[in-house]
Amino acid sequence: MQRRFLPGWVVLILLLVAASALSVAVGPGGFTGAKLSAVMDLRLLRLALGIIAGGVLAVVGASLQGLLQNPLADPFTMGVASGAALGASLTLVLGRTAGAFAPVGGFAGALVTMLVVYALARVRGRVTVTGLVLAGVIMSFLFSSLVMLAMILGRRTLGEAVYMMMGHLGAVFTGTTVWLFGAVAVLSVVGCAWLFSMSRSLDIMSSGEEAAETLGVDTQRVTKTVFVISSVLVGAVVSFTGAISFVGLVVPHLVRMLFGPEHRRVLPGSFVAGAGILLLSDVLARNVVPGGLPLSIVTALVGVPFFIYLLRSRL
Amino acid sequence: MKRSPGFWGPRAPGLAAAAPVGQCRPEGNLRHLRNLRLLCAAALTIVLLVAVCGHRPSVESGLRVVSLVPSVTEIVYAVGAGKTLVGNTNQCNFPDAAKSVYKVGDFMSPDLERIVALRPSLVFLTLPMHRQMLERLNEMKVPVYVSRPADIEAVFKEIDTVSQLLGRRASGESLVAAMRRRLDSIPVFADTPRVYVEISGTPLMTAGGGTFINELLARAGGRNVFESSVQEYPVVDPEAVLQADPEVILLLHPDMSAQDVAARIGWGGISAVKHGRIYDELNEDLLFRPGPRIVDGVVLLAKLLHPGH
Repeated sequence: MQRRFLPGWVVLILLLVAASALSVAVGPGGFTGAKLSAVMDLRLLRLALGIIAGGVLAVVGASLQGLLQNPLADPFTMGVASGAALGASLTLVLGRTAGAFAPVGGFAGALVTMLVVYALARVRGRVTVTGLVLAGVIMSFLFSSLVMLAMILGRRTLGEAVYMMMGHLGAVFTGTTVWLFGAVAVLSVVGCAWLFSMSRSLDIMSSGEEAAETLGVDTQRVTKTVFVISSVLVGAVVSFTGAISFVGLVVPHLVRMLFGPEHRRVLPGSFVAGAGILLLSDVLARNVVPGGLPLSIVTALVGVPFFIYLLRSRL
Repeated sequence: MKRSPGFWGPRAPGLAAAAPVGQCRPEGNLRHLRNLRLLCAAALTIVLLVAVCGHRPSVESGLRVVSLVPSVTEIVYAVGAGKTLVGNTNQCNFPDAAKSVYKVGDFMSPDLERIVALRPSLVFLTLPMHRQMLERLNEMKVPVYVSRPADIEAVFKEIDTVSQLLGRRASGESLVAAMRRRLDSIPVFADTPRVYVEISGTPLMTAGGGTFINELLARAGGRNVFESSVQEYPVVDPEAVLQADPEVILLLHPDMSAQDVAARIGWGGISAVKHGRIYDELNEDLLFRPGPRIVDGVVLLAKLLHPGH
């Protein structure tokens, strides 16, 4: 760890610690004493879910942005988040027994989306970056509509559809689903570590696909690997939280401002910052308005002004 | 149904003839008085007849009714006017006969063309679900009745109105009387357990005050823990449920079973979980449809909340 990046790391880790502390301490169930111990199980699980979800979304966003050399790439614009939401919705609509396997549905939905996006972007045997982004955006729109359709045909309330498409950390775990979540958490850590191990290739890829090939990087293989890992991680996370937007898009940019473009710093930085920002958003979402808000409302309220600032300062 | 001024026009002479009653007394002419009495009686009879049935579409055979509201469909059958029903929705599943009626689409999205093609003389719909449909039907001058009961009392009133519209006033009255008797037979319970109603598990959603289920719970001797919510069907934080510590949990969605809820992590301290008072597989139509079976819903809840009685 180079010395000049130390302040950045301190800031990010302090952010995560403070957000975690707030997330555990503040909630509708009260702040102190006996009341706190009664809701502790809930809050700790919520904390774990927030860290995993925020971390995974930001790391996947950072990897996709680097891989595709496109500042707008994230789990949302690539259609993966919507695809995962669709998969999770379908399992929910299918009924009680299937509903417990929403993570599997979400994972399958994300994987299918990635395959479709990849196939659509494949022209004359080659996958182009522009093609991937365009196909991703199109699929994202399509699957968002299909989530709505599935919810309406499944006679679900619009509220459920909204929360599926805008995210929340209010998942209630049972003995079975907590194991599934544990598996997802392990998978997430492994997946993020795998992406981290590809930092060097991602660095070269982000300087341009052709340049990367002349430098001996197997771009097709790197693209495929990143895509599969991304869809597995996002699919698993979204099935628990619904599709949370802006974390995957904005956080990597924020981290690059602190650490520069090198992925061996951007990826772990994104994990920490993503987790911290998502937890903070959740603290706001559940405490400001009684009953709580869908998470994406808060992440968008925070993310959009920041993104506009980013846009104007770069012009 | 408004009384149009034009409709009363032809009866006006009869009413005018009834007017001099007060004036003729001082004269003391008996025969004259008897004639006047007869006239008065005749006028009164006409007025009463008109008031009772004259201004309503009482010709049952000519009625072509389309119901876009499952609860109204139930009312139509319950007052014995099922034969007038020429169209209803996919959700109109009670009584069995309602299933075989021509379907004009979903409750959420009925098809205007199918409705109009039936040349209905009356369409039942509800708001806010059918706002656009209402506007279109108004434009096309198709008679509509908007069903929007806010509480059990309003359901009684609606059964009255619907039965009159269908020329089945007597059946409507006896149905309401029977429902009232049944409702009044439910005792007032001294203890009112705290109840959490879950209508979705992902995320947790419940029913607030101002909803039908809220009133049904109150009538059945229970207290909705989220009664104070302004929203009708709010999303709730799992922590808020822990805080409210419900003594009974009613699951009104297919996502989870009672066992699943009992196994929720962190929920072990809730009274309902500790005492195993979580109920699933309830007939949701009894609890959500403001129709003739609404009292059955109250009875169902009362039996769950007060098993000793």
